[in-house]
Amino acid sequence: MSQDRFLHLLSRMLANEATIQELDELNHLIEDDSNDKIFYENLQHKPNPYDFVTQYRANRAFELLAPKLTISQVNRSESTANTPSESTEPNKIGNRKYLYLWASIAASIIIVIFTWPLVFTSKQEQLSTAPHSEIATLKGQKSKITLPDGTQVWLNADSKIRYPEHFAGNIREVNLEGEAYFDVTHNKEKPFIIHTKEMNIKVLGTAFNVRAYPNEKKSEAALIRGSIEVSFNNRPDQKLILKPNEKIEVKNSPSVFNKTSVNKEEMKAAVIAINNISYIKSDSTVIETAWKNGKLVFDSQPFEQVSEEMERWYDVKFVIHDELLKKKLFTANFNNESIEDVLHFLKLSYPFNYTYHKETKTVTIN
Amino acid sequence: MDNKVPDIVELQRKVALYRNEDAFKSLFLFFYPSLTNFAYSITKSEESAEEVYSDVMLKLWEMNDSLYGIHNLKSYLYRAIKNASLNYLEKYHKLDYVNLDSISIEILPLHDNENEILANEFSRFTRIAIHSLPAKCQLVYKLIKEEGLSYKDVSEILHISVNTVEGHMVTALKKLQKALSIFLQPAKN
Repeated sequence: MSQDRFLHLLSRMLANEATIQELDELNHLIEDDSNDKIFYENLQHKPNPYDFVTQYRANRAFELLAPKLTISQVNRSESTANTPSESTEPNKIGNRKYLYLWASIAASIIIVIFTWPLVFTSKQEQLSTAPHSEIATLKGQKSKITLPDGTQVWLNADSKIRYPEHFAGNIREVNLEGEAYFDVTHNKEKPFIIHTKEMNIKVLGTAFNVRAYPNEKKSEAALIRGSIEVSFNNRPDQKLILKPNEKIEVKNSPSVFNKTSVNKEEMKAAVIAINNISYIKSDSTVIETAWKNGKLVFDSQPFEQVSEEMERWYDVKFVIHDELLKKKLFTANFNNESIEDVLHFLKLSYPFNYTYHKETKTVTIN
Repeated sequence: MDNKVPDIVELQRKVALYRNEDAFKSLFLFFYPSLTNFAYSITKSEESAEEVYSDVMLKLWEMNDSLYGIHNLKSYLYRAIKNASLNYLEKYHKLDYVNLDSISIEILPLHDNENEILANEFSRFTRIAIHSLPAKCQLVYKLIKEEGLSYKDVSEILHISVNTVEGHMVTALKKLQKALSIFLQPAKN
């Protein structure tokens, strides 16, 4: 009986059909039976379909197809030039399609405009009825908090968490700006929800990292164990369930970060991606949560990001005149090192000239 | 080799709106192994499977900006491949009307590859066990487990009910678990 239930739940999990309650039940079944656990863990392994032979065949097939791509392009433009009577029909359909597209975009914008204040004010009001605590860290600071339900929160630098003094009702809700690691106390009856600007994360009890700095281009949530359900403020009908070792990245909506850096390309770009979380190869530290243990980790990140991270970490200001350096990728990890040491080591892998002014906490790079 | 899954929606957008050939190539290479395998299960010839796949991908390219409107590209491609493969059978085997129920399904045999050699005993055994599942069961299992499709996607692709999809999947897991039991600890009381 319980075996059937286990396989049923496993099937639903593999097909991404499982609800968060079902995943929770599955996790418990696995913990109770070591055989089930071994079977489950080995199923996580995905064969890589891309072996050498297949790769060769795929490339060859594409080479054969490639000439047809441009031919089909040329044929189409020729046919529009020579036989206008024929080409007007599809064009008309095309235009009408655009009309629908624009009409639906316009409609959705109008709906957003009208519902925005409604959704927003109601949420704010709801949250402000109960007495709340707010804990914020400054740049260069970290903090560990225990919430009323026993949930532990590690708050990274320059971050803010807001939570009620006690969790009334059948739901535990907190608001987060910045980065935090959560180890949520399990409570089946009372889901725990973290609201950030872009996404809402719903859990029953698990450990995971959330990064949602308003001045960054994307927000992310990385799952260490258990399961979490993510929904999005700008697309309420969509929900995603993350499995352990996965992380979700969401592009922050343009209004949130510096407007000048938004071009059309970025506006249209895909907004959500799911990837695996990354490890430091030498000691298999999870990069996403390394900050919690005092490790400053860069995983082939451009210096632009590296400096932003260091600004938060050490409470300093970077002034960079070297445009080339900004795009240069750095991979390194530091364990509670001073800013002078970090700069010194970064300089070894790619030379740059810097001066660090201690009084004004400014790093200038020429 | 890079195991990262490319951002399909982003590539789809580049092909649809900017006619970007590199993006199209990435899509082509990414879907090649799974979709030619799927086409093979219907056409039963590697050559025709590749032909069907290339035709479908060419049509995708020719869709222009309407490509941007496809919601779930993977599921869409599976359905397109199924239809094109069945059409292929009708055309070349001079059959009147072919559907998935009236033909047998065959899965491409395993060929040894470098990943196989590197992989551990358990995963090698898993692959062999998967391969001994009944064809439809195996197809459902692969579409869900290896391709990440949902019950609904698979139900639409194979024209079977969602319940049947789940039934096949649970059967596949049950048989796999049984086949792999030699790796597990002695049975519980």
